[in-house]
Formats: sequence, C-alpha cells, structure tokens
Amino acid sequence: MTAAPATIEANAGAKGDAVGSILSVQGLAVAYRRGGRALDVVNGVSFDVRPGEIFGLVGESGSGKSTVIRSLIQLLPANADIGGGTVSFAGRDLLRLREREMRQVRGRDIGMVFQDPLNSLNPVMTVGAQIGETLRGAEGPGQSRRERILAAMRLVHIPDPERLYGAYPHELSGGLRQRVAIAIALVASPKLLLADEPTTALDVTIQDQILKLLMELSGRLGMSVILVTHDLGVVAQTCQRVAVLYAGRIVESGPVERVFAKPAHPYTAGLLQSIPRGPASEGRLKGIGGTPPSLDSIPAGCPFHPRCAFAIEACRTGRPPLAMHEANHLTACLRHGELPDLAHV
Amino acid sequence: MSDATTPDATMSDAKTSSRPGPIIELDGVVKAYRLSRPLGAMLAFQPRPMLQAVSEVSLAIETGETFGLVGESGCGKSTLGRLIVGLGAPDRGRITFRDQDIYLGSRRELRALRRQIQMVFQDPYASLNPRMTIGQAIAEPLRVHGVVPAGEVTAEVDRLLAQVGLSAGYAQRYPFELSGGQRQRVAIARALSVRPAVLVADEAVSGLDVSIQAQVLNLLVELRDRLGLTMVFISHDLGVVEYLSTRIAVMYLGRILELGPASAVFRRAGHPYTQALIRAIPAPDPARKTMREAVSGDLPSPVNPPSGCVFRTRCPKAQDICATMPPRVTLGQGHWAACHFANASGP
Repeated sequence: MTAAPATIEANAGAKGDAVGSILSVQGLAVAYRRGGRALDVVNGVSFDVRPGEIFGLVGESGSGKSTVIRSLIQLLPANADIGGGTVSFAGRDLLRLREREMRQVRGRDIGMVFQDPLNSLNPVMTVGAQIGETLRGAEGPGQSRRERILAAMRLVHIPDPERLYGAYPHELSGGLRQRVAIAIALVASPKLLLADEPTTALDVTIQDQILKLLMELSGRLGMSVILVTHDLGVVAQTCQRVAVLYAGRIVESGPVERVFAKPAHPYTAGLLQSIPRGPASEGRLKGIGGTPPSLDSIPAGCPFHPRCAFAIEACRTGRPPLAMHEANHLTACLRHGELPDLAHV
Repeated sequence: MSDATTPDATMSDAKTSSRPGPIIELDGVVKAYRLSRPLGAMLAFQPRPMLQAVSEVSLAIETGETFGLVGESGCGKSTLGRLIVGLGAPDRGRITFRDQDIYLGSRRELRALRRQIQMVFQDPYASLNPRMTIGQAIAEPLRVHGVVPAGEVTAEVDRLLAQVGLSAGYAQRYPFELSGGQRQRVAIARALSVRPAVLVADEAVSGLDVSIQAQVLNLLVELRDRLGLTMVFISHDLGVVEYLSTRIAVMYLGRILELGPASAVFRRAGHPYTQALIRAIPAPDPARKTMREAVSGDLPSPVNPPSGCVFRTRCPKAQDICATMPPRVTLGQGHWAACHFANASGP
C-alpha cells in the first residue's frame, strides 16, 4: 500500500497554545518524593489535544501515562510534586488553579473515567444520585434534574434507566458500572474527557461495547477524549492521534496511521513487534530485550538506549529532543533520519 | 487444506519420546461451588445456591501439543486448569493422566503422578514465598521430590535459572527484588524443576507489559519445543492463545462451545460466540477497523445459566430451538462447535 500524502496542518509541532487545540500541555514535569529522594516520573511532556478528537496516551507500566493525565486535573498522590510546565485549557493554566477553582473544572469542564468503576463509584449511593452529584451547581434551565440524569443514562445506553436509577453499584455488572461512570463524567457536558485505562478491567466483548460508546459519544457530542492505555490495539481502533511514553517522556507522537505504519522511534517499533499476530510457527515475536528502567535509575541520554538495537555513543549522553520527523509526526530519536524502515526490521 | 496435521508438525520438533495419543483425558467433568447466601435466605432454610463452574467437559489433550483454553472471566477456564493439575476433585466425571485417574490411588501414587503435571499462575508474586530466596524457592521442590542428589541441588538450581534466561546470581535474591517478568521466569523454572510432562499455564503472561510478555511467550515456545512439553495454555487473550496453541477450546459459562485446530478456529470459527470474541479483539492496525458489532449484553448469572445453549441470551442468531441443548456440529477434521446453527463462516 502506498502511503497517503501527509496532511499539512497549521498547528504542526509541539508549540504551545496552538490554534485549534482545546488543551495544550507544555513541558510538564512531575516528581514523586520517596524515601527522601525525588524520582522523576514525568519529564518535559508536551502535547496538544484538538477539539473532538480521541488522543491516545500509550505506554507500559511505570511510563508515567497515568501521572500525566492525573496531573492535568491535580489528582495526584500527596507525595507528588509538579516541577514545571503549563496546562492551557480554556484560556487558563490548570496547574495554577486553587483546589476550589479546580473543583469547578473537574466534572463540569473536564470529565474523568478510571480503570475500576467499582472503586470509583460510591457503594452506598444510588446510580441516579451519583450521576446527579456532578450536576450540583451546574443545573441548566428547562429540563429537571431527574430528566437530565435519565438523559445521561440513555446517552450511555444504560438499559431500563427508570429502573436502574435507584440501583446500587454492586447490583450492576462491570460493563454497566463503567457505563454509569461514563454517565457521571458526561452529565455536565464536559468539553474534554480523561479516560484512564477505562476498559482494562473488562472482558473483551464488554471492552468492545465501551470503546464503541466512547467513540460514538466523542463524535456525537464533539467532545475530546484523552485515552490512556497500555493496549496498542485499543489505540489503533479508537484514536486519531497518539503519543508514546517511555520512562516519563514522550518518545513519539503523531497521527495513528503514520505511527503504526511507519514508527519513527525504535521503542514504538518494538512495542508493535511485541504483539502476537498469528501462530509462533509463522514467526516469532521480536519483542524488546531487557526491562524498562526503574524510576530511581533512569539512564542518561535517551532513556531507551540500553534496550535499543540502533543506539550509538551519542544516544548515551545527549537527551534527544522531540523533533519533527514528518509533518505532524514527532520522534525523540537522534537517529530518526537514518533508521531503516522500523516496521519491517 | 487439512488443519488436522498441525499438531504432528510441532510434535516432530520435540526431542523427548512423545508417545502418540492423549496424555490427559477429561470425561464428563463437572465442578460446582456452593455459594454463601444472605442472612434472610439462611433463616428461611433456603439451600445455598450452586455455581456450576465446569459443566460436562470432555476432551483429550494430545502428547506434545499446546492446548489453548480461552474464554472471558467466569467461564470456568481456571477451574478446569486447577482440576487438571489435581487441585480440587471434580464432582462428577474423571480426569486421567496416561490412563491413570489423577484423583484415585494411594497418596504415594498420586504424588508421583501429580509431579508430572505442573502449573504456572498469573501472579508469580503471590505464588513465591517472599521470605525465601529465589534459589531456595527452586531448590524446595527439587529436595521434596528428590529430583537430584542433595549435593547437586545448587548446580541444578543454576541450570534451571539459566534455562529461563536468568543468571546464577538471581539465586541469592528475593522475589521483591525482581520485576514481574523475572518473577514469572522463576515461577516457570520452579514448575519445570520436577521435570513434568505437562505444564498448565493459567494467565501466565496476563499481568505483564507487552514487551515483557513477548519475552515470556518466546521462552515458553522455546522450552516447550526443547523439552517436548505438553502445555495447557489458559488465557482470556486470544492473540497469545493463537500464538502458542496447536488446538483451542472456547469456553463460556462452564461449557466448551467450540474446539478445533487453532488455525481452523481462528479462520473458520463456527460458533457465534467464537466469532464475536474474535471480532471484539481490537486489531493493532488502524488500517483494519475491527470491533464491528461483536456482541451485545452482559454475561448472564452463572448461578442460573440459560437452558440449552448458554450463549443464546446474547446470540444474534438465537431461535426458539436454542433453548434445547445444541448438538456438536462437525466443521472439519477435529473441529466442532456446539450450536444449532454452526457454520464455518469466518468472523
């Protein structure tokens, strides 16, 4: 297949406050205090999210993907410090908001869905009451409160909403609970939804239903979604653009079609070559050698260099910047211009 | 095209004497658990509800093959795996290893027999004693079963570690010092220490990151081929099951709905549930949009499963007849699906 011509867009690159972005993250740095030391969990992360798009944030455990998404709305553990950066949203820097101001943003402007709906739902509150909590102070004219709650339940295709309005979370299946969690996130019509591994705890047939729902809602409501996941399949099927995180840094970002067809960072290529796509008798997985670094010993230079087949001396010392590879396609690999076709190595 | 020859192809790679024929057979195996009931039900002397985790499962695992057992949570695949290694007797039916019932015999006989069937679990952190070094953990079964003379235990531990790609230095470490992938390697080394004929792996790579998962999958392929192991590979992940397995059984609510050579099940799935499962896998390829109309609804209560075909409440093809027990429809050599409307149309 010949590659489609790269689309040139006005806001290419990682420049801040790009026109046409709903959220712009610049140079985000987060450290965890642990045993008297500061561990860099997120280091210089920058990306933009466009209106109506599903933006994937993908990485393995410890890559910092959940920390990134939680720092956007200041939902970090007590031992985390935001060391720098800006998060521009609706003309404000979210990192500088006080807790009282942040509470206005959370839920109303930015909705959130997490991995385990059983932990994020209140076990002693009915479904209807929990969905209604987000509406407090945000009730619009016209529709009654109950009507808005029922409308949110219908929006996420909860069957028989009149009956389940009074149900408790433990009475629902895992898939239904996640639908309730999404209804809570959406009832106040946010412009942006943060979804942190929303389908990881679900069976594959239920995951399929929830992902379709997120795609439908994003399209229908024109809502942007940041989808954090470890699953490249989920990214390929749902996202328009993706950023790949490794050891707290973005190592590659771009349109999903480009990144999957022509990965420009050896780590992305290694991830893609770790996914089984047929029997072992037809070809062994290439995978990636070694293990990801632990937070207290992130290698100097490119953090991926000890596991990289293409590493040269410069990779051990210089920290590669996230640089333009092709239009809209960025990579933090010093050698990106001289690498072979990584998808077929 | 005949898919039935694929198991033989892998068996010829095996070094050890693979006796032809089944190594493990299950015949009408049933396992139910009694659930607790609410206080009100208890006071009313209502019987405790029963959950039938495994219903009437009969199958034969061939020597040297890798038998994949796939299904979603609650389908009974882990219960079946535990029954095969001798953890918890079936309520009905029998399980044999080389024609010997693994639940009948003297303690001594059973111990010798069960040494032949070892298991690797999902979470190696939970299955390794945190206060034992890796070396002690691997040496323990060597001593208990007298696999090697006492003077050779240390050397054998080093050999087993090397076999799973870990240096001898790991013998002095504790489980908490290891990564998830390294711990799973240790669990595999420990399972293989008693030189079993069969390895049952229950979600053995499910907790691992994809790059580490690929390493462990390749290790399993390599060990299987080198040692001529028969494997039962249990997973919810169809991709990894396809990667390893020669044959696959698809489970749902305690029953096997489809069974056949891996390639046939993937390319010509006959049961609507298998077709839905395959459609629901998000393909890691944006140019190939999958995830179209997999299946609607939720899993019914396993305490009160539907009569007849257990999948009928979610099945797009369901008709009145599905309330009666579906027949096993043969779809090809060694390939069947339990469905009134089974056909070989792809997913």
